Amino acid sequence: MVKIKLENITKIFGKKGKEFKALDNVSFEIPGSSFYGVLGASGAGKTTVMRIIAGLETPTMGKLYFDDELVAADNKDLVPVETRNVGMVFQNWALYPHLSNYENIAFPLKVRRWTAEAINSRINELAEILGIKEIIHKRPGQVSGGQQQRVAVARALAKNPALLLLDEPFSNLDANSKDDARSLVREVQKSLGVTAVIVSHDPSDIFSLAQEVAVISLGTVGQVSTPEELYDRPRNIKVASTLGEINFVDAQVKKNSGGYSLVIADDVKVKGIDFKGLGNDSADRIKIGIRPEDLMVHKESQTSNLIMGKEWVPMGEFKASSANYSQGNFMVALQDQKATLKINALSREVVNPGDMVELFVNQEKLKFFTLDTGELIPK
Amino acid sequence: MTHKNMGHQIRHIVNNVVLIVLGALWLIPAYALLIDGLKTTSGVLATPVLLPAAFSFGAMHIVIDALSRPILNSLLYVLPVAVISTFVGSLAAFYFYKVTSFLNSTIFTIIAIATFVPYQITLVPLIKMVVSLGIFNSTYGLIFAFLIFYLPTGALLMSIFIAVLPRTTLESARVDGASDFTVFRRIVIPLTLPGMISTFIFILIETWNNFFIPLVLISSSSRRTAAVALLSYTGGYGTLYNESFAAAFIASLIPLVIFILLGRYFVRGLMAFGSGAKG
Repeated sequence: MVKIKLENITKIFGKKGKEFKALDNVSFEIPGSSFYGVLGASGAGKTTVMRIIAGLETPTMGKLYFDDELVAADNKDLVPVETRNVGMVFQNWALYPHLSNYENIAFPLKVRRWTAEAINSRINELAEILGIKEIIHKRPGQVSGGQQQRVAVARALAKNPALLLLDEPFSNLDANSKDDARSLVREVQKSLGVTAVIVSHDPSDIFSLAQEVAVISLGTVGQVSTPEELYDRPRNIKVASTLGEINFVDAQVKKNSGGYSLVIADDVKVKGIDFKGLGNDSADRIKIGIRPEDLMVHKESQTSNLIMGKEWVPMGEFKASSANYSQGNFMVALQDQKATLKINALSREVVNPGDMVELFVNQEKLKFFTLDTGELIPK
Repeated sequence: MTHKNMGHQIRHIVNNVVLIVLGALWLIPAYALLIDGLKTTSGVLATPVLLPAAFSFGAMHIVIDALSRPILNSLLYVLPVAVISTFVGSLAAFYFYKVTSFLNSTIFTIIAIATFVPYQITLVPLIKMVVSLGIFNSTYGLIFAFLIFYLPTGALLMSIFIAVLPRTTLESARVDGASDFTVFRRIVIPLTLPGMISTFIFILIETWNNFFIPLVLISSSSRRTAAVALLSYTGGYGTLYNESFAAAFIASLIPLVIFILLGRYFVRGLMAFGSGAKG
């Protein structure tokens, strides 16, 4: 299946004088038959990337290749959108409201002048795979959001596209249908072997689907790598915060006999860090990135009989200021005793606002960034 | 009955009363046209306008004979004008919606201004143009003249309806492989059908009722349009009231019938639009 290559793509919107650079020198390559993710906050330019690949926008500068064929270059579309053989699932699914679901899926096939029998058998096949047989003759407005989404996927896949584009396809679904939809899309992509690109602001979409990810922030590519690599070793602060919730705190590095200790505040210290990268850096002040799930919260009374691995090191005493339930855990906002430091942590147990807790951090998961440029200090 | 229910009931009754009163007010002219058109010449002079008198089909009969040709003349230019203005206007509106540029917004502004120009001030150049094209005193001349004034109207009205279409729906059709014209035919037309029908009805009625342009562009009486022919019933020396009422009734019947027939599709189109995508 088709391999996509973006080469120094820049996209400028607006008139002269009021120009807005949506993409700035974006380059990456999408391997054939892979599931590729484009992750970014809203306004970062990720939808523009997708629209340029689809042919709905023309790159102001730069080149776009499908395999070795140049399809768009320097403000010209060489292959128009309707002949790129791309299937696309829009954020709002963009189904045709006046046609039945069947006719929606048949639309790209009718345009291609397939025979009625061929269309019928193709739709039956897709309806079987996607589980939409029962609602195939209803209109999009008469079925649930999850079903509409499946119809949109079926329509995008009907013409056997070389490339499947998914633009925030799950953002309009509730949490349960989201999981179903993700696994369905992944299975379908795998079995058809089609190259797929998903654009999303939600790291969980990307992590559950993509094999390789490009992180986009403010129109530039922050990092390209596998999801695991990105999560554990984000190149800089911007990439790290795009990938999910993370606490950034300033700290002073102090060398002592047992390794390094980090002084985050007068009463918040992390001791015994074995981390060579820190010694090479002349700066003694750094930024630390801590993900909420790399923190462990314990009510003070229970700390005496804790059993933990040695990667967990104490950070000190904190006071809970608020707690929200999210997906099986509590997201707890914590303050140190002088209320100078605020940290969000995940907790399995109920923590009430005002409770005093002991905080532990997984030191292997700590991420260190330079204070001035925000670049990752490699381990 | 609870208090809340009572309020609901009262509002329902008030709504209906207001609707009935307004409906009756609007029906009074049509009622007057009908009953006075069905009076005899002496009956129409002897009875008040809103009261019925002895029934006679005489005036109606005379008027139908006299007006059948002008009504046909009217239909011959009104229908092409309304159809072409709506269709070409939709194409233009679709283009303006699709391609946004400085040039296009300038052209669009000119179109909007064109719809506000009173056609009377263009009279002399219009007649000269129609004469030099060799279509003076013909249906083609009328179609030509009315298209000048109602193509912009069609484009303007349709661009209001087309602006409601979600852009992604059209883009999705492009990604599906449809050409611009296929998108227009298979997506834009069905989705803006209610708008197209209202535009069609609006232009049809405006054109049908237009008196001035056919008056100056048609010189032979066999080619007179319905609106112009109506004038002959109010003479300078006296008016046959039953005949002029009957004529007005007959002449307004055709737009009325078209409106009633298409009004149903209008509602159906709106419903199709309402059941559209949730996103």
